[in-house]
Formats: sequence, C-alpha cells, structure tokens
Amino acid sequence: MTQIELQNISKAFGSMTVINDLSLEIEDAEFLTLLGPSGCGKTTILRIIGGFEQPDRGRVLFEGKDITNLPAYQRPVNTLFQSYSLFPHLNVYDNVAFGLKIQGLKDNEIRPRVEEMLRLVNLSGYEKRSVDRLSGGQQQRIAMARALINRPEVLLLDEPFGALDLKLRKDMQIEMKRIQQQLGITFIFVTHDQEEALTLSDRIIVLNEGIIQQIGSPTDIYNEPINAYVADFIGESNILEGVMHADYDVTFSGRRFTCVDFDFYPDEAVDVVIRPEDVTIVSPEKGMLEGVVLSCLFMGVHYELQIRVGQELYLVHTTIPRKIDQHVGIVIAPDDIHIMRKGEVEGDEDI
Amino acid sequence: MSKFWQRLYMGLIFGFLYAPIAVLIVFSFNEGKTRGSWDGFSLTWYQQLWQDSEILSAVTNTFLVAIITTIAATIIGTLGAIGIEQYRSKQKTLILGLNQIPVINPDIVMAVGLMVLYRSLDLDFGYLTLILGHIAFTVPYVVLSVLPKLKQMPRSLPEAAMDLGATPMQTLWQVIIPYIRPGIISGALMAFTLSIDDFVISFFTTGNGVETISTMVFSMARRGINPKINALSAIIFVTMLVLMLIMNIRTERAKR
Amino acid sequence: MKTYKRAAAPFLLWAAMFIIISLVMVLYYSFTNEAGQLTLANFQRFFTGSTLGTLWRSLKVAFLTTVICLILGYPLAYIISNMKVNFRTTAIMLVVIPMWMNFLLRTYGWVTILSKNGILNSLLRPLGIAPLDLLYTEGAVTLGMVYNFLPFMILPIYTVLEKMDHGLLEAAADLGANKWNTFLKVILPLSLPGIASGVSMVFIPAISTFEITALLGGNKTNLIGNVIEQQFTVTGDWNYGSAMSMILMIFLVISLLFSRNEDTDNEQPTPTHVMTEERRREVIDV
Repeated sequence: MTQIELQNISKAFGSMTVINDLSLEIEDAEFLTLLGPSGCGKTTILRIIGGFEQPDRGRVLFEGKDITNLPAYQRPVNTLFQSYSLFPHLNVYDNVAFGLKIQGLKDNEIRPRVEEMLRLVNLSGYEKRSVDRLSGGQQQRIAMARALINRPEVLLLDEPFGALDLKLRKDMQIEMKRIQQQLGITFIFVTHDQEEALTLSDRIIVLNEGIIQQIGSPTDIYNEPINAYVADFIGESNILEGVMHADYDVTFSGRRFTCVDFDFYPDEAVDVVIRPEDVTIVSPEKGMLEGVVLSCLFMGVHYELQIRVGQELYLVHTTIPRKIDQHVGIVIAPDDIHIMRKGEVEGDEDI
Repeated sequence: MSKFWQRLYMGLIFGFLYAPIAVLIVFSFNEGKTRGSWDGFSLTWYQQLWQDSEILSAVTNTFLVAIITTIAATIIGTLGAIGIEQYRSKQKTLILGLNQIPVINPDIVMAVGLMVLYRSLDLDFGYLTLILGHIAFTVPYVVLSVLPKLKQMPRSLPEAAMDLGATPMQTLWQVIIPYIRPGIISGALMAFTLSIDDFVISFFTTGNGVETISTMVFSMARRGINPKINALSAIIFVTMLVLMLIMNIRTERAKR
Repeated sequence: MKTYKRAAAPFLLWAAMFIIISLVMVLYYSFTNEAGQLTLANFQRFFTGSTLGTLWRSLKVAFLTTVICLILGYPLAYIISNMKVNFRTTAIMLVVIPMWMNFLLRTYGWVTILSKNGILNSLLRPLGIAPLDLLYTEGAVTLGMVYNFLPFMILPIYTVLEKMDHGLLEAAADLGANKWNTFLKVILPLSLPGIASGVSMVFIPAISTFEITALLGGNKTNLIGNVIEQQFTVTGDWNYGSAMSMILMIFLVISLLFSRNEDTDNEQPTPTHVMTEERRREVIDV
C-alpha cells in the first residue's frame, strides 16, 4: 500500500535547483534508502517529507491526504537527525519522554513507555544520565528511542551513522534493521554510503542532481545499473566508451565483443560497464585484451590491480597478486558486459 | 623586569584604583563632617543614612529602575535576537548595525536623542522616561550576549522539538530558551549592571524630582557631599564584594 | 523557523523608536532654530565660535587620557597575563571590582584626596610644599578620566595577551630572538587588536564625558560634553546642543571607520565594536 506520495516536487534554494519535478511513491513498512552524493537533493527530500522545507511546486500526500502545508509538529513522521540533536539541558529520560510530555500525557503513562523504548534500544537503566556523558553510539540509540516513542508511522533517518566509527556503524546498522522489522514501520533512510544502502534497504533510490536515476532492490541496482552514473556510484566499475553495432555485438577498447544486450540503434554510442570482479586475468596470449599491470594493492580479501590496456585503465579485483609491469591478458564473459544508453534514467523506457 | 619591580608596579596601580574607595570607606566612619581630617571613629553616618529619605528614595529608585529595565530589556533583547537570527544575511547585517549604534555612540549623544524624542512625544520627564531610557540603552547588550549562543545552537535542535510534536511556542520555551539561557543570564546581568551604574542617560531622561544614586551624587557634589553618601557607598561596595565572592565560589565549585 | 521572525517585532519597534527616530529628531533639531525654521546657524555658530576651541581641548584631554591609560595599562595587562592561572584570576578580579561601585562615588573619592584640605595635601604639608591647588584643574580632570577608564584599557589587552599562543613565544626564542625582540616583533603586533579596542573604549567616553569634568574640574575646565550638557540643562538651546551632538557623533564615526581600516591591514581583523562588546561582557562575568 502506498503510504507517502511525492507528486512533481521541485525545490530551489536561490538560483540553485535542488530537486527537479520529482515524483515518488513510498510503500507502507518498507525500508527505503535515498542514495546519492552530497548535494544530490536527498536530504532536502527528507526535509520536505518531515515538514522542515516547503516544496516550491508539487504535493506531498500521506495515505492519500495532502500534507504539503502541514507543519512538522502535526505530521505523523519523526526524524533521526544526523547530529542526533539531543536536548543538552535534559537528561536521557526527559529527552526520550519529550514527545509524550508535549502531548500532555501523565507521568504514569509516560514512564512505562520510556522504559519500553530504552529496552528497545538496549539502554535500560540510563534514565538519569546526562546526554553529553553518552558515547556517540549511545546518543544515537537515545535519539532513536526519542523519535520512536511517539509511535510514528514513518521514521526519517538523515545519515544517522555519519559520526560513528566503522565497527560501531556496522553494529548500529544491524540494530536498526532489527528495530525496523520489530516495529514494522516505514524507514526512509538517507545516505551517501552505497554499502550501507545495499545492506539495509528493501528499495534504493539513486539520486543525482535532484533527479531519480534508478529505483530498485539492492540486487537490481547492483547487478543491473541503469546507466553509467549508477554503475559508478554503486560499487566500483570500469566505464568505457563503446559502440553498439547490432544486437549482442559491441566494440570497446579496440576489440569487438559479444554481449547479451540488444535493442539499440545501429552503431549507437554507449557506456560499457564492467565490474572489477568480473574481469578475469589470464596469460597474455589467451586474453581477449592485452595489458600491462600498473599497480597492485592488497585490499584484505582481494588484490586491486590497475591494468593499462591501450589508452584505457582497467580496475581489476583478483585473489592472485601480479607483478608491476607484467604483461597480462584479460577475459570478460558476455553477461558481465553491461551496455548502457548514455544519460538514461529511471522511467525513460516507458516513453 | 624582575619579580620585585613587577609586584611594585602592580601594587602602585592597584593602590591608584583602590585609593578613593578606601578613602570613602574610611571616612564613612569619621566622626566629623569635614573631608580630609579624621575626627575619630563613629557609626553616626550609618545611623543617619536610614533616616535620610532623599538617599533612601534614590536607592529605591535605582534598584526599581534597574529591575524593571532588566526584565524588559532581557525580554525585548532575547526575542529580538531570536527573530534577527531568522532574517537573511543582508537584512541581518543592517539590523545588527542599528543595534551597534548605541554601543559605539557616546552616552551623551544617546541621551540627547532620548531627550529630543521625549519632547517631541510630549512626555513628562520622570519615572516613565527614565525607565524607557534605561531600556533603550541596555537592549543592544542583551542582543549581543544572546546572539552568540543562538549561533551555537544547531538548527536541528528546534527542528527535533517540532518533529516530536512541539508547536513553535513550546519549542521556544522548552528547547530554545533553555539552550540560550547562559546568554540570557549574562545579558540580564549586563543590563542590570549598566542600569545601576548609569549616570548620563538618567541625568538627561529623569525629571520631576525622581533621582537615582548617580544623579543624587552628582547634584550633591556641587553643593558638597554629605558623609552619609560615604556610608552608602561603603555598604554598596561591601555588598557587591560579598555577592561576587559568593558567585565566584559557586562557579569554582561547579567547575569541580 | 520563519515563525520566529515575528519575535523580533518588539526589538524592531525599539530600534525604530530609540535609534532611527531619535537620531533623525536630533538631526532635525540641529538644522532648525527655535522657531522650527531650517537653518545652518547652529553649525555656523559651532565652527566660528569658541566651542571649536573646546572641542580641540576635549580632543587633547581625551588623547592624553588614552595615551596615559595605554602606558599604565599595557604593562599591567602584560604582567598579569604572565602570572600563574590562580593569581591571574584574582588580579583581574581586582581590576574589575572597583567598577562595581558607582563611578561618580569613586570619582568623588578623589575630591577628598585632592582638595585643599584633603589627604594628599595633609601628607605633603610636612614637606613644606603644601597646600597645592590640585583640585579643579585640567590635571585633576585627566586624572579622573584615567582613573575611570584605565580598566577598559587593561581588560581587552589582557584578553588578547592571555589567549596568545605561548608556542609562538617559544618559537621566537627558538629562532634566536631575545626578550626585547620577542616583545617588539611578536607580542606587541599580536596584541594590537586588544590595544585598538582598549583605545576606542577609553577615547569615546573620554571625549564625551561631562560628569568627571564637573566633579573634578569645577567650573574652570569646560569640555565639549559640558557645553552640550549646558545647552540642554542651563541655556535651553536644544538646537545648538543637537548640532554639537551630531558633530561629536560624526567625528567619532569617522575616527572609528579610520581605525577599522587600519585593522584590516593587520592579519587579524578584529572589529573594534566586537571586542568592545566581549570586553564589557567579561567585565561583568568575572
């Protein structure tokens, strides 16, 4: 069921257009991620849903009702802010209880709910603590408890893990997913971290310059990026200039390849995307292409190689190290060659 | 410079700063009325102070004006700072520039402006004009001490409150004001001190026999000051000293 | 957040009333005569009459006061800033405490000290040089000003010196500078913003005061502040008084702009008024 609908939203700050005619439907109880680099408009979308910004054009619907002009404090959504924004003058209990006190609930109604929330975020017994005595991760949990105590139907999360270190971030991701599933409410999550997006989301929306590039499940987006931008943003990719001669027939790096794509104009210029892990290294005489190893870095699980093929650089992931200046051959399987129309974005194929 | 010379220099400067205060306090216990000659210890001026209605009413006026001024200037200045912070930068610069005028301008120019303004409004000089004058010249200081605190406050803090269902009014009282409270307190303290210590503005904006300590001292100085004033200044000084010591000890403790 | 714009309403009303309208009224008064007719007579009178001489004398006294405050205040600020933290706080408190006593009372204390039968003369009498006419002279007025405004010079300089990075001094010493050179080449230039705000905090009240002149100068010393005051309280010539106020204000605005331009030449531009503000606040915070 559609819970939130954005219709033709545009927003500019001064002369800078941040969101351009964006429409979007968000399902009930899904974990939706808005993914994109900084300045892509993802935070602005979140702030429009939260009621902190007014769109210049377009409407925001909540369960079919127009809430475009509803102020933030009347919306059934709550936000987990990037900087947590805990109230420094209140202790943990009063921070979590804030929303309920505002509603005018009595103390004996508030207390059990605060305790329940603190249990949910594994911080029972912290009621009396002052919030500036908490670690980053604990502050994060309190902010979550504070946002969830109002029993919102939607939780908006604005890069909530930005300030945490890697280890803590992983823990919090798991915790957040658990809470989302336990409560069964919609999470709209904003991040620029593609790995985070892939791990957590039911659906991902890839944004660039205020325009939706692609919407899909994490696997769809990773395996079938719609254009070179998405491919480059989600994971590492080799993006090469190519020409599509006919169905299943493409030229790049000076050689003709067989691929699995079809339905292009004859000799259409395209972007060819190849994941580094899909490139196989063989001996020079067995390769489809021949190149020279420029660098070889150990990355923990694999080695990352830069290989110069003619004028182009290939990024290759492999488990066997190679020597610098070594001549190698490259093999790419047909279904690992992804052909993309230049500049295509989500929705274009419908036209 | 050796330690000795440094200490000597400090001693001389502090001697200079405290000499008239010491003289005032010492002579407040003087038996006789003549300045500069010691006629023996007595508390007579302290006793007479409580019977001098002119002095007592000046003291009452001073504190009354200071309290009303502090309350009004703190409200106007705090709300002003909160509002100004929402304006675009160009308008903000203009408004803050206006706010700066009374701070830079000599007191006498401000006072002349007030006098001229009151006359054009046909106001009677007295309590009202005096209090309005004090509010007028203390408001900028409140604004200037609240603004830095407001700038420090992350934008998302009031947003978080509204997100949790607080109306703008509730957000103001429950989140913004508690956050900027240190700025408000120091602004209020400043308004109070400036008002208590003011002479120039009071001198030009009061009338109809309404006197503050400052204006009274000034007019008395012309006809010779009564030693009762010495007693009064000793009391004020000791009170201030004790208050400051208490405040300092408390902040020291709070630090620990 | 736009909702809070309305909170500024009382403030804006205040600004309109007590700054814009009141200054416009002063301006209006200065260009009219008592009958309300437009005239330049007030300014003509100022620039041709004896008051110009008074302004000149006020300038001299204010300048002298500022220089003496700087000469006395800088070393003290420097000594205090080099003390151990605990002593430092106490010493700065000692600078601030006198300001908690009504300044007219404190100034009046000097009358007791300086008068003909005062303490100083009775101390000097055994030496045979008394009684000296100390009170009601320009010297007494200058002394009163130095006494009242000295803390305003000490405090901003102290703040700058105290915040100064001690690594800089070590670096200077490391590079072979002796103490005197370190002071001239490192400490003094870095404390210029403090000096600048101290100078403006002393100069502005010094040029406009009339109460210190009245207490310690008797009727013998007249400064521009006294002339303005007399127009409003004695002669009742508000138009002329307004014109003089305008001239004083414009004169100060120009000199402030001038000092701010100098500031921007420095590496650390510190707007004088900001420092002034900070200073006044710390005075009360201590």
